[in-house]
Amino acid sequence: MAKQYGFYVDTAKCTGCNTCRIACKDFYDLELGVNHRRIYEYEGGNWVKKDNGWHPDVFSYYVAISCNHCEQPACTSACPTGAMHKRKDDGLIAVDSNRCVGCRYCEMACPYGAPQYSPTKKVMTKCDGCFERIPMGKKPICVEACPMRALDFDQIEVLREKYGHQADIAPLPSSEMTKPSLVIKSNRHARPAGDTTGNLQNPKEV
Amino acid sequence: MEHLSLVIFTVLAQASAGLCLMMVLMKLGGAITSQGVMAMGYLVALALLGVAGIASITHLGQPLRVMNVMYGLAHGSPLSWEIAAVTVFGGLAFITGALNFKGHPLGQSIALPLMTAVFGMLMVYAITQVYTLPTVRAWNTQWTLAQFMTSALVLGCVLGTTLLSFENKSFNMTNVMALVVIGIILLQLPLLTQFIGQLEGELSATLDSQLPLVRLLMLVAGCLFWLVPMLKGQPSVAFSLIATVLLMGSEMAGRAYFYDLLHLRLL
Repeated sequence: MAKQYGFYVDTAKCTGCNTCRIACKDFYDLELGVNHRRIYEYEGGNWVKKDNGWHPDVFSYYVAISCNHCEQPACTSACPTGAMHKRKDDGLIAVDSNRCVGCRYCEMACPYGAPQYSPTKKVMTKCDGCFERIPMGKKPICVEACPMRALDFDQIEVLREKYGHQADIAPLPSSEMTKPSLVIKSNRHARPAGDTTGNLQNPKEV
Repeated sequence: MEHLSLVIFTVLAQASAGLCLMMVLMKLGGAITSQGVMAMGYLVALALLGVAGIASITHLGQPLRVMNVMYGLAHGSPLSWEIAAVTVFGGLAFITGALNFKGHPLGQSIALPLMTAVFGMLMVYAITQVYTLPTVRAWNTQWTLAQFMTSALVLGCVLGTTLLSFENKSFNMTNVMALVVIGIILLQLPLLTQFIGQLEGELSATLDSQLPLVRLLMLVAGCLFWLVPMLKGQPSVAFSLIATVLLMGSEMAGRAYFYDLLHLRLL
């Protein structure tokens, strides 16, 4: 039975500190503009009438997303060279940088913005689940760096048993699109996928 | 303008396909009788496709590895199919042009021009399939197919007219070509406004662009230059060439706007 690894993101604990993003950038020496993990800041609000008064009902939370190593990946179907591939051992998706032509079609096809073009390497790069660390019994860099312990990484069945089956939260698109290997824990303000009552506050960062 | 190479690739490839379609129609209609004219037409089509191909390769991070795209045919990557379609269409256009250039009797047959035109349209369809992506809201509609096909037809028509003008032939007002031109003007204006209008509210508001206006102005100007020789019943190489340049510019402006919409994505 093929293994499928995935991520768990606890949005109730995430403070948006960006340590996960920076730890990955530091470890893999990623250049400016390339972020394998991105922290989406989703905010919105409304006014609610209670008795004679109007009360603000504002919300703001962070969702830290890298690659979701989807079960039906859009990137691998899009890739014209087969460089973007799903590994048989662990179900993680990685780029063969010797085959990639840098056409950026995977970047257009991915609903989560995971594949990113590297202007210096001139090929696509992406979170690969730190698959080299798995045989060493270590978790990915981002998971180990998170000061809130809001991230986890394991076989997706293990994560689903531990944390549930939810993979949808705004501003992420519906999990029906690509079946991400992702488990999300909602925070008290969480809005469902497809929600339009809020806005992404940091579009230039992600 | 970061996608300028893809703007050039898609517009010129579609122009090439449109021209090949027009040529088989004009040959069937009796407007073209000389193999020399056919050869010139296919030469222009190949030149357009060649420039388009070079432009598309400049978009790649690793252009020297371009042959790797053949691997993607195995799992049906739309981009691999598009490139295969461009290659087949280009090959057919070359054979058809070469046979006519040599005055070979096979060049007189309608079969090769017909196959070339069919594969040209299949290529335009293949390009459409690449860009109709669920993750790019502005592209994931039938408007993408409509816009790409319209580009091919408009540019094919004006290139066909220019080709004929070199032979001092033209279409007059009673001819279907003039109706086509008027139809295009009448169709493109609502087509464009409808397309922009159907973009979800926040999409059209956040994209502050002069490109649709530039596109419309060049379209109207180009169509005027195109119509004048027809109204006078006198073909004019100069007017047709100016019309071609203006309409190419119009399509490129429209395509640049299309690519800018990529920034407005699902996430």
